[in-house]
Amino acid sequence: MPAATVFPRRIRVLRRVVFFSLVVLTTVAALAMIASAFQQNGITPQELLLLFLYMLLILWVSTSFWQATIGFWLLLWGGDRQSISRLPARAGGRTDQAPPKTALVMPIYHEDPERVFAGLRAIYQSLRDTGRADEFELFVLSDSRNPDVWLEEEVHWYRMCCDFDAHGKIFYRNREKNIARKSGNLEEFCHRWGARYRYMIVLDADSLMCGSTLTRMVDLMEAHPTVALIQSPPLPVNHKSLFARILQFASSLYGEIFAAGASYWQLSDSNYWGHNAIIRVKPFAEHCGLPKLPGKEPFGGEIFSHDFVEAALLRKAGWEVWLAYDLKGSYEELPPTLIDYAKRDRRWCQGNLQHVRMVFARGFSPLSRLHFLMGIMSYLSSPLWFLFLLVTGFEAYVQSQTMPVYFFGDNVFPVWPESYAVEMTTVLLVTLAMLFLPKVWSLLLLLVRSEDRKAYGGIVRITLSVLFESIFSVLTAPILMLYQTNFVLAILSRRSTAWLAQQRSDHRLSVKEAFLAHWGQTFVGILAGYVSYRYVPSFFWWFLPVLAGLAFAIPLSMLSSSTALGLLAKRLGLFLTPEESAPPAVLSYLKDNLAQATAARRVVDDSLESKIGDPAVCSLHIALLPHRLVKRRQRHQLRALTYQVIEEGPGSLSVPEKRALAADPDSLTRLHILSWAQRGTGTASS
Amino acid sequence: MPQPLWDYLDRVGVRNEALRASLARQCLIHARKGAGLQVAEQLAAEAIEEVQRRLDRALAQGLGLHPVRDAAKLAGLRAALAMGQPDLSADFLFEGRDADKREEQLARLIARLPIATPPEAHLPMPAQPFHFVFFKSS
Repeated sequence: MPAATVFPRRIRVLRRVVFFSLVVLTTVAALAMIASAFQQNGITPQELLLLFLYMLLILWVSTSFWQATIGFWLLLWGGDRQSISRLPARAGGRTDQAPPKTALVMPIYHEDPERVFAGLRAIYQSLRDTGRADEFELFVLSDSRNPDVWLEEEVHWYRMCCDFDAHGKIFYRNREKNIARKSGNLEEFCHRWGARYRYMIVLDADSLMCGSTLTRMVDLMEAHPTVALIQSPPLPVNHKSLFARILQFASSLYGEIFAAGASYWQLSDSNYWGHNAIIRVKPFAEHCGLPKLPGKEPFGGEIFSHDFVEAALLRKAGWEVWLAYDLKGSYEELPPTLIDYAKRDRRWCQGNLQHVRMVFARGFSPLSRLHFLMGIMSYLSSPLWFLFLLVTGFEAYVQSQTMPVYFFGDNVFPVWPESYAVEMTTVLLVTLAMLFLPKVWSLLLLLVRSEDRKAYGGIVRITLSVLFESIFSVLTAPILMLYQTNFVLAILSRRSTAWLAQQRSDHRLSVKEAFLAHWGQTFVGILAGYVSYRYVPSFFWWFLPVLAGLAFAIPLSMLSSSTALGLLAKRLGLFLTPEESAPPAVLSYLKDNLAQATAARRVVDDSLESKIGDPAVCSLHIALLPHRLVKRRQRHQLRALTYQVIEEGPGSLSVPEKRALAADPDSLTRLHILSWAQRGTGTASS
Repeated sequence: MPQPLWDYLDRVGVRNEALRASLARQCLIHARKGAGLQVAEQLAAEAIEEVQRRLDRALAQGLGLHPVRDAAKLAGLRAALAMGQPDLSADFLFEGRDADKREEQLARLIARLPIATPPEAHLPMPAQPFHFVFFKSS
């Protein structure tokens, strides 16, 4: 537990009372309106269900709305004076005995080595520009299993060390057994080298951070000894496909108000998003070792989304966790297509739903439980919306079949049924307003920020971009709703997902890919359209935006994956971001590094055979292998595999078999020599 | 002169063609002695192994390393030589006429030795127990 001045409790309490009061009051008001319409003839079971679903959904929507609104208000008046970057330095606390060095750690797993190292180089170049590169060491923590990728990573690492004369400053480690995925990877780092560093900045394979941002984060940690983690808000950059450029624009334009709003009420109890964050190593190691949860995946086993849990554990131990919403120069990349986005969502969905248990873990603060609940709700909201639409459709059908009775009892005059159209329209408009007003807030904010306005392409282009983005999000929302509903159902039926490498590079979807991924949604859209048009025509027209998104899922997904369209939009000044208008140095470095890597790649044979045959690559790999004893039986197995390669080629081996060979210096040396010996005789099998 | 042997010497960093020819000849002779009458593939393998042995021996002698205990370090030095173009070559290891130049080259080579990880500095990271209200605890 840190003993220095902690952040004042009264400010935290006051802000949370304000925020949650707004959220609850909005929810109650919306519910009251919809309930008054339902009470016309007593509430039916399906109306009761609708009320319950609406309560959950409007609670979620109003949380997001008030977060954005408060963030907008704060930014309009110059930002939050209680943000971590504006607070005065706090004295006291235990002296951190670890040397004041910071490790930049990048856990990777089967990523494109070219992109990984181009990014790392860019970060290091930007860090050197600050003149404080000596305070940092870089660590590439590889969990890649495939020897092709493994050997390529090593070569890229060594070339980077040579190019920057940074031997002994940039490190590379390939884990022998990748237990517990990314959290296990970081855990192993802390266990082996943790005492060497006071801080670590965790990067994702696609992370980019400006040198000045890195040094600023270290300075903030030094100034606030009670803080264990500062999360920077990463902005998406570097995209070409239309899908990713639209998301990139939305995240860049709307993200700031949401982050400022979140920081307003979370303050020193913020969350960790897994990367682009600085962590105090000692408390992290002391409190964030993660156990395996009892039971099988998806709810048991290794903890998938470790970041939320680690933040909760730090808060439980009395450490502060902050979101520095105003910290610039922190970037990441997005999945390039709707399908890749959904694939990433599948993993995140499983990780967040696994947190159901954490909500009921002893010792966590109510706010930590709320963070877990919000993570769960970000995926559970999809099946809830789906159910809400189904029940609404059914209710509309029931209403359409009900004949009004004008004369009953002793009434001489007709009793006209009461109309609740005003209440229902108000409910709908309020819900839509809460969904779309944050976009308007962001636009309004640009009106007072002339430089930003120019960087986003001018007010006309920004307005058009917001309009198109809104249409696009309306169309894609039902597709994602069905995807996420499917994911939630799969997880609830205990189907786990594999740990696969992410597809990060741009690629145009083929008809086959799009059809296979979206035929179900298209079918649901057409079927729902037919049923609603046939039986409840008045409902059909209300339902049209949802139906259109589903029915056109295949062309929408294909078109949005196009880089040509993305670049055309860029040329037209649509979906522009400040990072596109005036790229920061770190992005220019990345672009140059990627261009150089691409040029170098053209002249290099990329196969595993060629890598083993290359004296430089093979020697480097052998030099980096950890020393280990091989038992006699293993030695025989390795020899058998070696002969299999000689006779049938490396293609005949599975990835684990290739890895076994690649992890053994003797086998590698034998294969290396044979590959050269066979060159002159022409007997090479490969 | 077998072309693969010639190419191999070039790839491991022997840039001087005369030296390369001389080393190739010596390695071939050694391979023939060791292997007797064999098929070309075995002879080439023996010769390439001999190149590696000579290179390792020269590196170990130059830097005071043990050929077996420091095998990983030697492999690292071999990689540094092979990747060291244009300012590093293995020639000085076999020529050894100019002592100053040799020292300078050795220093340059050591500076390029791959250092994959720093010395370990352990920090225990115990797994935190979780006690759940409605679920089995860890």
